[in-house]
Amino acid sequence: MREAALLRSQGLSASYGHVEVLKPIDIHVAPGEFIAILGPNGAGKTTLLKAIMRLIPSQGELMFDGQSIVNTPTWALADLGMTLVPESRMIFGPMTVLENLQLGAYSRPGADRAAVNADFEAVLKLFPKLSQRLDQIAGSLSGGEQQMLAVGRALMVHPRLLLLDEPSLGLAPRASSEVFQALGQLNQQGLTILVVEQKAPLALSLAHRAYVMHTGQIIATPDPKDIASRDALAHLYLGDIQ
Amino acid sequence: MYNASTLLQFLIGGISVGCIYGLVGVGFSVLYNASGIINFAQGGFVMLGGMVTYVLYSLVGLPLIAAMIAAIAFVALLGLVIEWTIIKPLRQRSASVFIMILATLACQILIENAALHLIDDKPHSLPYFTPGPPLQYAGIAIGLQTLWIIGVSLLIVFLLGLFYSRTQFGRAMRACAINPEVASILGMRVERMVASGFLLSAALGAIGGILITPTQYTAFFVGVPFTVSGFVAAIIGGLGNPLGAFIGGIVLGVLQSAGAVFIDAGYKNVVAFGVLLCVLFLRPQGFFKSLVE
Repeated sequence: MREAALLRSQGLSASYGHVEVLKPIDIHVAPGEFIAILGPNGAGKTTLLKAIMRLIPSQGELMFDGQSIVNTPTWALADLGMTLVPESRMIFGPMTVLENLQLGAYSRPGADRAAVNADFEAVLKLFPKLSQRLDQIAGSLSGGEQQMLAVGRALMVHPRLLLLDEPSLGLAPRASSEVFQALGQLNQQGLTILVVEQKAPLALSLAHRAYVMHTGQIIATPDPKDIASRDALAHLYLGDIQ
Repeated sequence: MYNASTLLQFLIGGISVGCIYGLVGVGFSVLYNASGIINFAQGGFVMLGGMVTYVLYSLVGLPLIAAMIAAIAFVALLGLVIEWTIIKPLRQRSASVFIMILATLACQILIENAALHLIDDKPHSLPYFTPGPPLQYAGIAIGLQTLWIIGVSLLIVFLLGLFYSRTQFGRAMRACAINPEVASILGMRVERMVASGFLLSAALGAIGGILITPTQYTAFFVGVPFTVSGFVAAIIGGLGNPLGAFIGGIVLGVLQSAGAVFIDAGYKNVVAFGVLLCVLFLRPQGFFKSLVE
Protein backbone atom coordinates (compact mmCIF):
# COMPACT_ATOMS: atom_id res chain seq x y z
CA MET A 1 0.00 0.00 0.00
CA ARG A 2 1.32 3.47 -0.85
CA GLU A 3 2.29 5.66 2.09
CA ALA A 4 -0.21 8.53 2.46
CA ALA A 5 2.37 10.89 3.93
CA LEU A 6 5.04 12.44 1.72
CA LEU A 7 7.33 12.73 4.74
CA ARG A 8 7.06 10.75 7.96
CA SER A 9 9.39 10.53 10.92
CA GLN A 10 9.03 7.96 13.68
CA GLY A 11 11.13 8.27 16.79
CA LEU A 12 13.61 10.55 15.00
CA SER A 13 16.22 11.72 17.49
CA ALA A 14 19.64 13.32 17.34
CA SER A 15 22.47 14.09 19.73
CA TYR A 16 25.44 16.40 19.83
CA GLY A 17 27.96 14.35 21.77
CA HIS A 18 26.16 12.99 24.83
CA VAL A 19 23.49 15.70 24.75
CA GLU A 20 20.24 14.56 23.16
CA VAL A 21 19.07 17.72 21.37
CA LEU A 22 16.25 16.04 19.50
CA LYS A 23 14.11 13.64 21.53
CA PRO A 24 12.18 11.02 19.56
CA ILE A 25 9.99 12.98 17.14
CA ASP A 26 6.97 11.75 15.19
CA ILE A 27 5.74 14.04 12.46
CA HIS A 28 4.10 13.55 9.10
CA VAL A 29 3.51 15.79 6.12
CA ALA A 30 0.84 14.86 3.59
CA PRO A 31 1.11 15.86 -0.09
CA GLY A 32 -0.09 19.43 -0.63
CA GLU A 33 0.09 20.40 3.03
CA PHE A 34 1.67 23.54 4.50
CA ILE A 35 3.11 22.56 7.87
CA ALA A 36 4.56 25.02 10.39
CA ILE A 37 7.02 24.03 13.07
CA LEU A 38 7.08 26.65 15.78
CA GLY A 39 9.05 27.17 18.93
CA PRO A 40 11.48 29.47 20.67
CA ASN A 41 15.23 29.64 20.11
CA GLY A 42 16.96 26.43 21.07
CA ALA A 43 13.80 24.32 20.74
CA GLY A 44 15.50 21.99 18.24
CA LYS A 45 13.70 23.15 15.09
CA THR A 46 16.82 23.60 12.96
CA THR A 47 18.25 20.32 14.28
CA LEU A 48 15.05 18.57 13.18
CA LEU A 49 15.44 19.97 9.65
CA LYS A 50 19.11 18.96 9.58
CA ALA A 51 18.18 15.45 10.66
CA ILE A 52 15.51 15.26 7.95
CA MET A 53 18.04 16.47 5.34
CA ARG A 54 20.57 13.87 6.62
CA LEU A 55 23.04 16.63 7.48
CA ILE A 56 23.56 15.22 10.97
CA PRO A 57 23.49 11.64 12.23
CA SER A 58 20.19 10.59 13.77
CA GLN A 59 18.33 7.58 15.07
CA GLY A 60 14.80 6.48 14.26
CA GLU A 61 12.87 6.05 11.02
CA LEU A 62 12.46 8.61 8.28
CA MET A 63 10.38 7.96 5.19
CA PHE A 64 10.01 10.09 2.06
CA ASP A 65 7.25 9.06 -0.33
CA GLY A 66 7.09 5.64 1.27
CA GLN A 67 10.81 5.00 1.01
CA SER A 68 13.24 4.98 3.92
CA ILE A 69 15.82 7.75 3.57
CA VAL A 70 17.74 6.98 6.76
CA ASN A 71 20.76 5.84 4.75
CA THR A 72 20.30 8.29 1.87
CA PRO A 73 23.10 10.86 1.54
CA THR A 74 22.07 14.51 1.50
CA TRP A 75 23.04 15.03 -2.14
CA ALA A 76 20.65 12.28 -3.26
CA LEU A 77 17.60 13.90 -1.62
CA ALA A 78 17.39 16.60 -4.29
CA ASP A 79 17.01 13.87 -6.87
CA LEU A 80 14.17 12.33 -4.84
CA GLY A 81 12.38 15.70 -4.72
CA MET A 82 13.22 17.23 -1.36
CA THR A 83 15.35 20.27 -0.62
CA LEU A 84 15.92 22.90 2.04
CA VAL A 85 16.13 26.69 2.10
CA PRO A 86 18.66 27.01 4.94
CA GLU A 87 18.65 29.49 7.78
CA SER A 88 20.26 32.85 6.90
CA ARG A 89 19.61 32.09 3.21
CA MET A 90 23.16 30.85 2.45
CA ILE A 91 23.14 31.96 -1.14
CA PHE A 92 26.41 31.62 -3.07
CA GLY A 93 27.42 35.24 -2.44
CA PRO A 94 30.36 35.63 -4.86
CA MET A 95 28.32 34.22 -7.74
CA THR A 96 25.67 35.97 -9.81
CA VAL A 97 21.93 35.60 -9.28
CA LEU A 98 21.73 33.66 -12.54
CA GLU A 99 24.53 31.28 -11.49
CA ASN A 100 22.78 30.65 -8.16
CA LEU A 101 19.57 29.74 -9.97
CA GLN A 102 21.41 27.57 -12.48
CA LEU A 103 23.04 25.65 -9.62
CA GLY A 104 19.62 24.93 -8.18
CA ALA A 105 19.04 22.71 -11.20
CA TYR A 106 22.34 20.84 -10.76
CA SER A 107 20.71 17.54 -9.83
CA ARG A 108 18.48 17.53 -12.93
CA PRO A 109 19.74 15.74 -16.01
CA GLY A 110 20.66 17.70 -19.14
CA ALA A 111 17.84 16.12 -21.11
CA ASP A 112 15.38 17.93 -18.87
CA ARG A 113 16.25 21.34 -20.37
CA ALA A 114 12.68 22.35 -21.29
CA ALA A 115 11.43 21.60 -17.77
CA VAL A 116 14.38 23.48 -16.23
CA ASN A 117 13.65 26.49 -18.44
CA ALA A 118 9.98 26.37 -17.44
CA ASP A 119 10.95 26.36 -13.75
CA PHE A 120 13.37 29.23 -14.35
CA GLU A 121 10.57 31.30 -15.92
CA ALA A 122 8.23 30.35 -13.05
CA VAL A 123 10.79 31.54 -10.47
CA LEU A 124 11.19 34.88 -12.26
CA LYS A 125 7.41 35.24 -12.45
CA LEU A 126 7.12 34.51 -8.72
CA PHE A 127 9.97 36.91 -7.86
CA PRO A 128 10.05 39.55 -10.63
CA LYS A 129 12.75 41.50 -8.74
CA LEU A 130 15.23 38.72 -9.50
CA SER A 131 14.72 39.05 -13.26
CA GLN A 132 16.20 42.56 -13.13
CA ARG A 133 19.22 41.37 -11.18
CA LEU A 134 20.28 38.19 -12.96
CA ASP A 135 23.81 39.44 -13.64
CA GLN A 136 24.24 41.02 -10.21
CA ILE A 137 26.53 39.44 -7.61
CA ALA A 138 24.16 37.67 -5.24
CA GLY A 139 25.97 38.89 -2.12
CA SER A 140 25.07 42.48 -3.03
CA LEU A 141 21.30 41.85 -2.95
CA SER A 142 19.16 43.12 -0.07
CA GLY A 143 18.13 40.62 2.62
CA GLY A 144 14.65 40.18 1.14
CA GLU A 145 16.02 39.68 -2.36
CA GLN A 146 18.54 37.15 -1.04
CA GLN A 147 15.71 35.19 0.57
CA MET A 148 13.79 35.28 -2.72
CA LEU A 149 16.90 33.98 -4.45
CA ALA A 150 17.34 31.23 -1.85
CA VAL A 151 13.72 30.13 -2.37
CA GLY A 152 14.06 30.46 -6.15
CA ARG A 153 17.26 28.39 -6.13
CA ALA A 154 15.48 25.67 -4.15
CA LEU A 155 12.54 25.74 -6.57
CA MET A 156 14.99 25.07 -9.42
CA VAL A 157 15.51 21.65 -7.80
CA HIS A 158 11.84 21.05 -8.74
CA PRO A 159 11.06 19.68 -5.28
CA ARG A 160 7.92 17.90 -4.20
CA LEU A 161 8.67 18.89 -0.61
CA LEU A 162 10.24 22.24 0.22
CA LEU A 163 11.69 22.72 3.70
CA LEU A 164 12.45 26.23 4.92
CA ASP A 165 14.40 27.22 8.02
CA GLU A 166 13.36 30.59 9.46
CA PRO A 167 12.68 32.31 6.13
CA SER A 168 11.76 35.59 7.89
CA LEU A 169 14.97 35.75 9.93
CA GLY A 170 16.66 39.13 9.60
CA LEU A 171 14.11 40.47 7.11
CA ALA A 172 12.10 43.68 7.30
CA PRO A 173 8.37 43.00 7.91
CA ARG A 174 7.48 43.90 4.33
CA ALA A 175 10.10 41.56 2.89
CA SER A 176 8.91 38.76 5.21
CA SER A 177 5.34 39.26 4.00
CA GLU A 178 6.47 39.10 0.36
CA VAL A 179 8.32 35.85 0.95
CA PHE A 180 5.41 34.24 2.80
CA GLN A 181 2.98 35.47 0.14
CA ALA A 182 5.09 33.63 -2.42
CA LEU A 183 5.14 30.51 -0.23
CA GLY A 184 1.34 30.67 -0.05
CA GLN A 185 1.12 30.84 -3.84
CA LEU A 186 3.47 27.88 -4.21
CA ASN A 187 1.42 25.83 -1.78
CA GLN A 188 -1.79 26.70 -3.66
CA GLN A 189 -0.10 25.43 -6.81
CA GLY A 190 0.37 22.09 -5.05
CA LEU A 191 3.87 22.29 -3.54
CA THR A 192 4.16 20.65 -0.12
CA ILE A 193 5.88 22.95 2.37
CA LEU A 194 7.37 22.41 5.81
CA VAL A 195 8.49 25.66 7.40
CA VAL A 196 10.33 26.25 10.64
CA GLU A 197 9.54 29.72 11.91
CA GLN A 198 9.73 31.79 15.05
CA LYS A 199 7.28 34.41 13.83
CA ALA A 200 4.19 32.30 14.48
CA PRO A 201 1.51 34.60 13.01
CA LEU A 202 3.18 34.59 9.59
CA ALA A 203 3.48 30.81 9.50
CA LEU A 204 0.09 30.11 11.06
CA SER A 205 -1.65 32.37 8.54
CA LEU A 206 -0.76 29.83 5.83
CA ALA A 207 -0.38 26.56 7.71
CA HIS A 208 -2.84 23.67 7.53
CA ARG A 209 -1.28 22.13 10.63
CA ALA A 210 1.42 23.10 13.11
CA TYR A 211 3.79 21.43 15.53
CA VAL A 212 5.18 23.30 18.52
CA MET A 213 8.63 22.29 19.71
CA HIS A 214 10.27 22.94 23.05
CA THR A 215 13.55 21.49 24.40
CA GLY A 216 13.89 19.08 21.51
CA GLN A 217 10.41 17.58 21.52
CA ILE A 218 6.95 18.19 20.09
CA ILE A 219 4.79 19.56 22.87
CA ALA A 220 1.66 20.60 20.99
CA THR A 221 -0.09 20.34 17.64
CA PRO A 222 -2.36 23.37 17.68
CA ASP A 223 -5.01 24.12 15.08
CA PRO A 224 -3.66 27.14 13.16
CA LYS A 225 -7.20 28.48 12.64
CA ASP A 226 -7.96 28.41 16.33
CA ILE A 227 -7.38 31.93 17.64
CA ALA A 228 -7.46 30.77 21.26
CA SER A 229 -4.65 28.30 20.68
CA ARG A 230 -2.64 30.97 18.84
CA ASP A 231 -2.95 33.31 21.82
CA ALA A 232 -2.00 30.52 24.18
CA LEU A 233 1.05 29.77 22.04
CA ALA A 234 2.06 33.38 22.06
CA HIS A 235 1.78 33.54 25.78
CA LEU A 236 3.47 30.25 26.60
CA TYR A 237 6.25 29.79 24.09
CA LEU A 238 6.75 32.60 21.67
CA GLY A 239 6.84 35.73 23.74
CA ASP A 240 5.63 38.88 22.02
CA ILE A 241 4.60 37.80 18.55
CA GLN A 242 2.19 40.56 17.70
CA MET B 1 73.64 50.76 -18.28
CA TYR B 2 71.30 48.36 -20.00
CA ASN B 3 69.78 49.07 -23.37
CA ALA B 4 66.09 48.56 -24.14
CA SER B 5 66.53 45.26 -25.95
CA THR B 6 68.50 43.75 -23.06
CA LEU B 7 65.79 44.79 -20.61
CA LEU B 8 63.12 43.42 -22.94
CA GLN B 9 65.07 40.19 -23.18
CA PHE B 10 65.04 39.81 -19.38
CA LEU B 11 61.36 40.79 -19.30
CA ILE B 12 60.49 37.98 -21.72
CA GLY B 13 62.57 35.56 -19.66
CA GLY B 14 60.69 36.68 -16.53
CA ILE B 15 57.31 36.29 -18.23
CA SER B 16 58.25 32.84 -19.46
CA VAL B 17 59.23 31.44 -16.05
CA GLY B 18 56.39 33.49 -14.51
CA CYS B 19 53.89 31.58 -16.69
CA ILE B 20 55.06 28.35 -15.03
CA TYR B 21 54.79 29.88 -11.55
CA GLY B 22 51.38 31.08 -12.67
CA LEU B 23 50.31 27.58 -13.73
CA VAL B 24 51.42 26.20 -10.36
CA GLY B 25 49.54 29.06 -8.67
CA VAL B 26 46.48 28.23 -10.79
CA GLY B 27 46.77 24.66 -9.48
CA PHE B 28 46.70 26.01 -5.92
CA SER B 29 43.64 28.12 -6.73
CA VAL B 30 41.77 25.33 -8.50
CA LEU B 31 42.08 23.05 -5.51
CA TYR B 32 41.32 25.83 -3.05
CA ASN B 33 38.18 26.61 -5.07
CA ALA B 34 37.06 23.01 -4.88
CA SER B 35 37.91 22.21 -1.28
CA GLY B 36 39.37 25.11 0.67
CA ILE B 37 42.62 23.08 0.89
CA ILE B 38 46.08 24.45 0.08
CA ASN B 39 48.06 21.64 -1.50
CA PHE B 40 51.76 21.85 -0.75
CA ALA B 41 52.40 18.82 -2.95
CA GLN B 42 51.71 21.02 -6.00
CA GLY B 43 55.43 21.45 -6.74
CA GLY B 44 55.82 17.67 -6.58
CA PHE B 45 53.34 17.39 -9.46
CA VAL B 46 55.45 19.89 -11.44
CA MET B 47 58.59 17.84 -10.83
CA LEU B 48 56.84 14.58 -11.70
CA GLY B 49 55.47 16.06 -14.94
CA GLY B 50 59.01 16.59 -16.18
CA MET B 51 60.54 13.46 -14.63
CA VAL B 52 57.87 11.01 -15.82
CA THR B 53 58.00 12.49 -19.32
CA TYR B 54 61.80 12.06 -19.24
CA VAL B 55 61.47 8.41 -18.17
CA LEU B 56 58.85 7.58 -20.82
CA TYR B 57 60.65 9.48 -23.59
CA SER B 58 64.33 8.83 -22.88
CA LEU B 59 64.24 5.47 -21.11
CA VAL B 60 61.11 3.75 -22.42
CA GLY B 61 61.38 5.28 -25.89
CA LEU B 62 57.88 6.64 -26.38
CA PRO B 63 57.42 9.53 -28.82
CA LEU B 64 57.63 12.88 -27.00
CA ILE B 65 53.96 13.76 -27.41
CA ALA B 66 52.84 10.32 -26.17
CA ALA B 67 55.25 10.56 -23.22
CA MET B 68 53.85 13.99 -22.31
CA ILE B 69 50.21 12.86 -22.47
CA ALA B 70 50.95 9.73 -20.47
CA ALA B 71 52.87 11.76 -17.86
CA ILE B 72 49.99 14.22 -17.46
CA ALA B 73 47.54 11.32 -17.09
CA PHE B 74 49.82 9.60 -14.56
CA VAL B 75 50.27 12.71 -12.43
CA ALA B 76 46.53 13.53 -12.59
CA LEU B 77 45.80 9.98 -11.44
CA LEU B 78 48.33 10.36 -8.63
CA GLY B 79 46.47 13.51 -7.53
CA LEU B 80 43.30 11.45 -7.43
CA VAL B 81 45.01 8.67 -5.45
CA ILE B 82 46.27 11.22 -2.89
CA GLU B 83 42.73 12.50 -2.52
CA TRP B 84 41.27 8.99 -2.11
CA THR B 85 43.87 7.61 0.25
CA ILE B 86 44.81 10.64 2.35
CA ILE B 87 42.49 13.63 2.00
CA LYS B 88 39.15 11.82 1.84
CA PRO B 89 39.75 9.73 5.00
CA LEU B 90 40.88 12.89 6.81
CA ARG B 91 37.72 14.71 5.70
CA GLN B 92 35.61 11.78 6.88
CA ARG B 93 37.29 12.12 10.28
CA SER B 94 36.42 15.85 10.24
CA ALA B 95 40.11 16.80 10.27
CA SER B 96 40.79 20.54 10.20
CA VAL B 97 42.06 22.19 7.03
CA PHE B 98 45.42 22.68 8.77
CA ILE B 99 45.79 18.92 9.25
CA MET B 100 44.99 18.36 5.58
CA ILE B 101 47.53 21.00 4.52
CA LEU B 102 50.15 19.26 6.67
CA ALA B 103 49.22 15.97 5.00
CA THR B 104 49.83 17.52 1.55
CA LEU B 105 53.27 18.66 2.75
CA ALA B 106 54.01 15.06 3.76
CA CYS B 107 52.88 13.99 0.26
CA GLN B 108 55.37 16.44 -1.26
CA ILE B 109 58.20 14.81 0.68
CA LEU B 110 56.97 11.31 -0.25
CA ILE B 111 56.80 12.22 -3.96
CA GLU B 112 60.28 13.75 -3.84
CA ASN B 113 61.81 10.70 -2.18
CA ALA B 114 59.96 8.29 -4.45
CA ALA B 115 61.41 10.13 -7.48
CA LEU B 116 64.89 10.00 -5.93
CA HIS B 117 64.78 6.26 -5.25
CA LEU B 118 62.74 5.08 -8.26
CA ILE B 119 64.39 7.28 -10.93
CA ASP B 120 67.68 8.87 -9.85
CA ASP B 121 69.27 11.98 -8.34
CA LYS B 122 70.52 13.50 -11.62
CA PRO B 123 69.10 16.51 -13.44
CA HIS B 124 67.36 15.69 -16.72
CA SER B 125 66.03 17.70 -19.61
CA LEU B 126 63.69 17.22 -22.55
CA PRO B 127 64.03 18.37 -26.17
CA TYR B 128 62.35 21.57 -27.32
CA PHE B 129 58.82 20.88 -28.59
CA THR B 130 59.70 22.66 -31.83
CA PRO B 131 63.38 22.41 -32.77
CA GLY B 132 64.98 25.46 -34.31
CA PRO B 133 66.86 28.66 -33.58
CA PRO B 134 65.22 31.45 -31.52
CA LEU B 135 63.18 34.07 -33.33
CA GLN B 136 65.13 37.31 -33.67
CA TYR B 137 63.34 40.66 -33.58
CA ALA B 138 64.83 44.10 -32.87
CA GLY B 139 67.82 42.60 -31.13
CA ILE B 140 65.71 40.30 -28.97
CA ALA B 141 65.87 36.52 -29.20
CA ILE B 142 62.74 34.58 -28.27
CA GLY B 143 63.17 30.84 -27.93
CA LEU B 144 60.51 28.67 -29.51
CA GLN B 145 59.98 26.87 -26.21
CA THR B 146 59.28 30.25 -24.60
CA LEU B 147 56.47 30.75 -27.11
CA TRP B 148 55.14 27.28 -26.24
CA ILE B 149 55.22 28.13 -22.52
CA ILE B 150 53.42 31.45 -22.94
CA GLY B 151 50.92 30.15 -25.51
CA VAL B 152 49.92 26.95 -23.69
CA SER B 153 49.70 28.78 -20.34
CA LEU B 154 47.42 31.47 -21.76
CA LEU B 155 45.25 28.83 -23.43
CA ILE B 156 44.89 26.90 -20.16
CA VAL B 157 43.94 30.00 -18.20
CA PHE B 158 41.39 30.96 -20.87
CA LEU B 159 39.85 27.46 -20.86
CA LEU B 160 39.72 27.43 -17.06
CA GLY B 161 37.89 30.76 -17.10
CA LEU B 162 35.30 29.23 -19.42
CA PHE B 163 35.10 26.11 -17.26
CA TYR B 164 34.32 28.05 -14.07
CA SER B 165 31.88 30.50 -15.63
CA ARG B 166 30.16 28.57 -18.41
CA THR B 167 29.92 24.96 -17.28
CA GLN B 168 27.58 23.66 -14.61
CA PHE B 169 30.36 21.42 -13.23
CA GLY B 170 32.75 24.37 -12.91
CA ARG B 171 30.11 26.47 -11.16
CA ALA B 172 29.36 23.52 -8.86
CA MET B 173 33.05 23.25 -7.93
CA ARG B 174 32.98 26.88 -6.83
CA ALA B 175 29.68 26.37 -4.98
CA CYS B 176 31.14 23.43 -3.04
CA ALA B 177 34.02 25.61 -1.86
CA ILE B 178 31.69 28.47 -0.87
CA ASN B 179 29.32 26.32 1.15
CA PRO B 180 29.63 22.52 0.90
CA GLU B 181 26.54 21.90 3.05
CA VAL B 182 24.27 23.98 0.84
CA ALA B 183 25.87 22.51 -2.26
CA SER B 184 24.96 19.01 -1.06
CA ILE B 185 21.41 20.14 -0.27
CA LEU B 186 21.14 21.12 -3.94
CA GLY B 187 22.35 17.71 -5.08
CA MET B 188 26.09 18.29 -5.53
CA ARG B 189 28.47 15.53 -4.43
CA VAL B 190 31.10 17.50 -2.56
CA GLU B 191 33.60 14.63 -2.33
CA ARG B 192 33.46 14.25 -6.12
CA MET B 193 34.27 17.96 -6.53
CA VAL B 194 37.26 17.70 -4.18
CA ALA B 195 38.53 14.68 -6.12
CA SER B 196 38.08 16.58 -9.39
CA GLY B 197 39.98 19.51 -7.90
CA PHE B 198 42.94 17.25 -7.06
CA LEU B 199 42.84 15.68 -10.53
CA LEU B 200 42.76 19.05 -12.26
CA SER B 201 45.41 20.74 -10.12
CA ALA B 202 47.76 17.76 -10.47
CA ALA B 203 47.34 17.81 -14.26
CA LEU B 204 48.06 21.57 -14.30
CA GLY B 205 51.22 21.03 -12.27
CA ALA B 206 52.37 18.28 -14.65
CA ILE B 207 51.76 20.50 -17.69
CA GLY B 208 53.82 23.26 -16.08
CA GLY B 209 56.65 20.82 -15.36
CA ILE B 210 56.65 19.48 -18.93
CA LEU B 211 56.64 22.99 -20.43
CA ILE B 212 59.56 24.28 -18.34
CA THR B 213 61.83 21.22 -18.44
CA PRO B 214 63.25 21.82 -21.98
CA THR B 215 64.40 25.34 -20.99
CA GLN B 216 65.77 24.38 -17.58
CA TYR B 217 66.04 20.89 -16.19
CA THR B 218 64.09 18.68 -13.85
CA ALA B 219 65.30 16.67 -10.89
CA PHE B 220 63.77 15.14 -7.79
CA PHE B 221 64.45 18.31 -5.76
CA VAL B 222 62.87 20.97 -8.01
CA GLY B 223 59.40 20.55 -6.54
CA VAL B 224 59.73 22.62 -3.38
CA PRO B 225 60.92 25.84 -5.14
CA PHE B 226 57.95 25.50 -7.50
CA THR B 227 55.60 24.96 -4.57
CA VAL B 228 56.90 28.14 -2.93
CA SER B 229 56.80 30.21 -6.14
CA GLY B 230 53.36 28.92 -7.09
CA PHE B 231 52.00 29.61 -3.62
CA VAL B 232 53.43 33.14 -3.73
CA ALA B 233 51.80 33.62 -7.14
CA ALA B 234 48.46 32.48 -5.76
CA ILE B 235 48.76 34.80 -2.75
CA ILE B 236 49.74 37.83 -4.86
CA GLY B 237 46.85 37.17 -7.23
CA GLY B 238 44.33 36.41 -4.51
CA LEU B 239 43.94 32.78 -3.46
CA GLY B 240 40.92 31.28 -5.19
CA ASN B 241 41.19 33.31 -8.39
CA PRO B 242 42.96 31.30 -11.13
CA LEU B 243 43.45 34.31 -13.42
CA GLY B 244 44.79 36.31 -10.47
CA ALA B 245 47.19 33.46 -9.60
CA PHE B 246 48.43 33.35 -13.17
CA ILE B 247 49.04 37.11 -13.25
CA GLY B 248 50.66 36.79 -9.81
CA GLY B 249 53.03 34.20 -11.27
CA ILE B 250 54.03 36.52 -14.11
CA VAL B 251 54.58 39.38 -11.64
CA LEU B 252 56.80 37.11 -9.55
CA GLY B 253 58.77 35.90 -12.59
CA VAL B 254 59.33 39.46 -13.82
CA LEU B 255 60.38 40.62 -10.34
CA GLN B 256 62.92 37.80 -10.08
CA SER B 257 64.22 38.75 -13.50
CA ALA B 258 64.44 42.42 -12.46
CA GLY B 259 66.28 41.45 -9.28
CA ALA B 260 68.78 39.45 -11.32
CA VAL B 261 69.32 42.32 -13.80
CA PHE B 262 69.47 45.34 -11.52
CA ILE B 263 71.14 43.86 -8.45
CA ASP B 264 72.58 40.39 -8.88
CA ALA B 265 71.31 36.97 -9.90
CA GLY B 266 71.78 35.86 -6.32
CA TYR B 267 69.34 38.51 -5.14
CA LYS B 268 66.47 37.60 -7.43
CA ASN B 269 64.52 35.86 -4.68
CA VAL B 270 65.30 38.63 -2.18
CA VAL B 271 63.61 41.14 -4.50
CA ALA B 272 60.69 38.82 -5.29
CA PHE B 273 59.94 37.84 -1.73
CA GLY B 274 60.53 41.38 -0.47
CA VAL B 275 57.73 42.42 -2.78
CA LEU B 276 55.62 39.53 -1.48
CA LEU B 277 56.06 40.83 2.07
CA CYS B 278 54.96 44.28 0.91
CA VAL B 279 51.88 42.72 -0.71
CA LEU B 280 51.06 40.83 2.48
CA PHE B 281 51.34 43.99 4.54
CA LEU B 282 49.44 46.26 2.16
CA ARG B 283 46.93 43.90 0.56
CA PRO B 284 46.84 40.54 2.34
CA GLN B 285 43.83 39.38 0.30
CA GLY B 286 45.88 39.73 -2.94
CA PHE B 287 45.14 41.90 -5.94
CA PHE B 288 42.19 39.97 -7.31
CA LYS B 289 38.98 38.89 -5.66
CA SER B 290 38.60 35.20 -4.89
CA LEU B 291 35.92 33.37 -6.86
CA VAL B 292 34.66 31.74 -3.69
CA GLU B 293 34.85 34.41 -0.97
